[in-house]
Order: sequence, then C-alpha cells, then structure tokens
Amino acid sequence: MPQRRLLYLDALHLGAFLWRSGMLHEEGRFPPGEQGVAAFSEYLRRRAGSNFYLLADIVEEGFQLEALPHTQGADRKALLARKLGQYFYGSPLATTISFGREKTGRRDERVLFTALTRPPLLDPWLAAMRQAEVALVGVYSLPLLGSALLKKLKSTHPKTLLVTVTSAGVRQSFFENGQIRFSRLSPLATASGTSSAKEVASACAIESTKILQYLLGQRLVTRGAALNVVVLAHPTQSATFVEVCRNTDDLQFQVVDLHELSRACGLKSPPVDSRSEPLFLHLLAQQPPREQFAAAPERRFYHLRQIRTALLGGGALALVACLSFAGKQLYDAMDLHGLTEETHIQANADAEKYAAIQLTFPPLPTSTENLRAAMNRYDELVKRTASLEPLYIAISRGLQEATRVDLDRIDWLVSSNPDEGSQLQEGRTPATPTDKGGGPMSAIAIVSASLPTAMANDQRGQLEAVNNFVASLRRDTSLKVAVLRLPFDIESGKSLKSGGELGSNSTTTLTQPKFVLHLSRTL
Amino acid sequence: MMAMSKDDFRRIRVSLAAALLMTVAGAAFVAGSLQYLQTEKKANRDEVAKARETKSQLSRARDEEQELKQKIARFNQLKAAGIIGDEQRLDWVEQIRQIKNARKLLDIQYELAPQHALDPTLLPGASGSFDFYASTMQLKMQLLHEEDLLNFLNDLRTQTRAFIRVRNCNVERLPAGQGERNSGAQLHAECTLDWITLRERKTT
Repeated sequence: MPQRRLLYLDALHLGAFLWRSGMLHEEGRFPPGEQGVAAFSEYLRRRAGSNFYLLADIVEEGFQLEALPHTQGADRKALLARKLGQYFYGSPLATTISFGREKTGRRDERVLFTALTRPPLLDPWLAAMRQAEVALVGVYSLPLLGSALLKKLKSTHPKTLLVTVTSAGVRQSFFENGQIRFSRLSPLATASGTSSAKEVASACAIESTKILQYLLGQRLVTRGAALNVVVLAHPTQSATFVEVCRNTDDLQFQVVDLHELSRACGLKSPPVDSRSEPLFLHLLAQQPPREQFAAAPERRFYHLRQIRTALLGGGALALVACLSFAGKQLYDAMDLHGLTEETHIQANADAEKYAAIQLTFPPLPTSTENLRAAMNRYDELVKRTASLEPLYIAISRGLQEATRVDLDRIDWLVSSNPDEGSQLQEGRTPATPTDKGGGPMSAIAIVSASLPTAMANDQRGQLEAVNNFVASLRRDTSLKVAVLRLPFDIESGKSLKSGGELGSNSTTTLTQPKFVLHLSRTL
Repeated sequence: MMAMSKDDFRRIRVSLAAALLMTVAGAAFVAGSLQYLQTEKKANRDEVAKARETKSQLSRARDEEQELKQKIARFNQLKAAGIIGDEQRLDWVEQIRQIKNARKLLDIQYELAPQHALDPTLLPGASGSFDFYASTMQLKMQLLHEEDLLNFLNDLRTQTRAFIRVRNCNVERLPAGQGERNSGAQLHAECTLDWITLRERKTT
C-alpha cells in the first residue's frame, strides 16, 4: 500500500505532509519560484512511491450552477466540457458536480461547474510532479471537502455558511442541503499565524456579513431568514470568537470546537490554532471526494499505478483462488489416499488369509487360473461334442412303426446351425458341416429313405407312409423333424409324373419312391 | 479513462507479466491438483475393486477348494488318459488295430492329417496357458451293421489317448449284391473325426 502524502497549496507556499494512521507530519514547505520548485522536485524524487493529493486553497476559484437538459454518455460528456470551456476558458483545472435532477418541469439536471481559475499558480508544481513521474491522485479545493465536514457536524440547517480560517485567510463556503454552492477566500490583512484571535474572529464576522450581502443579491438566501454560520475555532479562542461573532437577525453564529471536530473526524494531531487546514488535509487523506480538478494527463502515473495494482491484485487473487481450489483438491486427494491405504491394508490382510487357506489346497499342476481356464474349456468341448447313438436310436424307434420305410443313407453331423443341410440339392446330400461356432450345438441327421416299389403308383399311400414315419419320429419332443423331399412333388407349382403301371405291357420301369428327412436335436 | 500509449504498456509490462505468471502458476496448481486427485481416484477405484475381489475370493475359498480338487482330479485323469500332453500317434494306430481285431471289423481305411490348433469356431473361448490341438482323421469303413460303427467309435473314445470328436459321419446302404462281393458288407461309412489333445504353452 503506497504512503499517502498531502500537498497544501496557498498563494504563499506549498506545504508537504505525510499522513499515517490519522497523524499529519509536516515534511516540507516550499516557496513559489525556481528554488522552491527545485527543492520540491528533490522532495518528490525521494518519495516517488507515494500517492500525492494536492489541496489548493487559493482565491482564484469559480462556481457556476446551471440546470442542463438531461443527457447521458458521450453527449453529456461533450455538453459538460463545452460548458466548462464557456465558464472557465483556459483553465484545465475544472470539474463538475452533479446535484441530481429537478423534481418538476423538464427535470433538468443541476450541475455545479467549478474551477481553479489561475492555473499558472499550480503549473510549476504540477510540472515538477509530472517530471518526477509521481502518482498524483487529484487536485482538490477546500470547498469540495466541506460537505464531508458538515456531515460530521450533523447540521440540520438547509443552508449553512461554513467559515474556516486557514493559512491563506478566511474561507467562507456556502452549502445548500449539504452541497457546496459557492466559496470565497478572503486573505487576512496580516498573516493568520501572527494575527490575534480577536482580529481573526472579527475578520470572520465581517466577511460573513459581506458574503451575506452577496448571497442575498444572488437570491441564494432570503432576507429575514437567519443564515446558520458555522465557525471553526481553536478551543483556546472559542470564547473570543463567541464574543466577537454576535448573532443578528440575518446571521446565527455557531462556534465549533476545532479540536473536538478533529477528534470526531479521526485526526490524531489536532491543529495548534484556529487554522483548520490540517483537518481538511486529514479529510482528504481519509476520504477524498469523487470530484477533483486535475486532467487525465496529470494523473497518468496514478492511473498506471492503479493498473499495476489491479494487475498484481488480480493476479494475486487468481493465484490465491487457484491455490485455495488446488488445496481443496489436494486435501480431498490426501483424504482419498488415506482411504486407499486403508483399503490396501484390508485387501492385503484378506489376501494373506486367502493365501493361508490356499496352503491347505492340494498341490496344483499349474496355476489356479490356467487350471480353471483349461478345464472349463475342456468342459465346453465336451458339451459341444455328440455321439451318433441318440439320433440313431430315435430313427430306429421311428422305423418300428414305419415298417414300409427302408433307410438308404444317414448323413450325421454336428453344427451350431440346427438347419444345417436343410437346403437339399438334387443329386447331392450335404455331409460336411459348415460350423460357424459360438451358439449351442445341434446334432443333425439327414435321413434318405425309400418305400417299396409296389407303392410307386400309390401316391396317397406314399404320403401316408412318410407322414407316419415323421409322426413317429416327432413323438420324441426333443427332436426337430422336417421333410426335405417327398417321394413326389405334391405342390401345385411343380410337375407331377406317374410312377408307371406294375404288370402292364408298358415298357415303363417302376422306380422306388424316395424321400429325405432332416432331423436335429440341440445338445 | 485515459487511452493507453505504448510507453504506458512498457511501464506496466512487469506487472502484467507478474499477473500472467501468477495466473498461469495458479492454473498449473489447479491442473496439477486435479490430475493428482484423478490419479488418487483411479488408485482408489482399483484398490477397492481389488479388495472386493480379494474379499469375495476369501469368502469363496472353501467352495473354491472343492472346485479345485475336482478340477485337479479331472486334470490328472485327462493327463493319465493322454488327452493332456503330446499326441501319441503310434499308440493311436495300434489301438485302432486292436479295436478292429477285437470287434472283428471289416475293412477300415483312414488318413490322419497333420496336427493343427483347434479351430476357434469349433471351440470358442480362452484356455489360459493351455492350447488345444486337433489331428483330423478321414475314416472309411465297410460295415455289416451300423452297430459296428457305433462300437468302433465308442471304443475309440474310451481306449485311445486322445479326445475324440466326431464332426460328421455318413452311412450308406451298399447296393444289393455289392456287399456279398466285399466280404458281406452291407453298409459303407465315411466319417471325419478330430483327435484332440491339449498341452501347456512353454514359457520362455
């Protein structure tokens, strides 16, 4: 955090103060002129890391209040810049204070234009600061700080004249509803440090009367309504101030103890006399007002410092956030690591118990896994292997009821396709399995049989004989039986030939009726 | 807000670099911690799975003992029967001859193909460090009766030192008269058999 250094400028000198924990330490006093500026430059060079606040307490300060049509954004910025140029032409040390929008009518915005109207008074000091590349937070004036002071006083009067004594003279600032409207500095005939309390109090009373006339002329106050005048005075001089500043019909004086007010504001090094600039400097260090007079180029190094601070702060924040997140992850990971360790120990204990039990096992010819895998696969091989007998027995039982059927051929095979061989082609019986593996295996028999030659012309009898044979086979419910070929083609879509006449004179040779069945059984 | 000049950027570059460095370092810490957490999560998952498996193994230990005893007995039985180990072709040939003589079978012709790994489509699955091998035999027989074939195959199964798997077997009635000319054979059979053995892979 950079140190805060406050510069108090009046017509006679520039005072430099270090503010630390509510204490003001004077570090230098520089007169105008080349020597003073050179000494100030040297002072700045040694304190380049500080933030500087410049408080101007000079006569040349202007105030103009105007109601402007409500605008926003770039338009408002341009309008305010134009107005500032009109009111304070040639002064770059100008600013605006918005008092908000009116409640009635067009609801214009009331804006106070204010400026330090004698830039040459500040230029040498500002140039020295630019050259030293120090961070100038802003250029302020006493009236800008008056609002904060009135808040501390908890004044309930809508219109208040704040009268303060500084090294520069007697300053009278007029506030309406807590907001600055006008301010004026009246230099004392003699230096304020050497003036007596009575002279200063008299000056306050006289200047208050003078400014009242001005305010009446400007219709800022109404005649007959007593104006509340707050005068800040050192406790040792309060009695003199009370004696001199007499209430009138138009002015109601309220002498405030400067030390008490300083304490209320948190200033730990109270003013030594009625000059109140230490209090204003303290207020500036503690709570600088938003409005200030310096243009952007004057504050360049302060802005750069702000950017640097923001970058470092953002980076540090990101780092801290990341470290916090990473810390949480690491904490979780460590927690998990502990759990894993516990699980590992438990698993090892179980493994040891298992190993102890394994010692009681009979000696293994190979590893447990290999033994299990080999035997399981062997069992699978046994399941996928079939013998001829079951299907031969089934066929044999079927033949017992189909006495007219003679077997010619049995093609037996094992396949994972239960319909293997069902696509019978003329002149060729399938005998080689086309096993694709995987699924359950089936034992298959393709039975080629024939009927007696005497039945060659008895198609109905042939059909009946085949059907009887099939029916007797199907009594075994585990057997799937399909007729692949009948002794003759009975379908309407195929040609039907005669079998010849037995004993006739015809030369036709009688052929034995033949048929083919497909039998399968899942293993 | 004041516009930034090149000189301004030069003046803030150290802070900018520091901010970036801090952000990158923070991101690296986050990435590292996340990676570490993921590694720990995986290790925990693996360890929990292992512990579950061990616990399950422990609870099944007695059942497993019984199972292993059965499997060992089976293994020893297969080894004694010659199914586990190198194939013994000479024994097979002699056993076929003995069966033929004992059963008084007619003509038997066969051809045993070179040994090959068992077709995985016939027997899918893994068998650990054991490999299954098959020697395919083409068998032709003249039969008086189909029972000759069934008895022959049964004898092969029970007496030879291999696991016999019949792939297919075609039995055909011989035309009348042809059998009498060939020692009275009534049937002709052609079969394909796999002589299966298994042996453990040698680890180098």
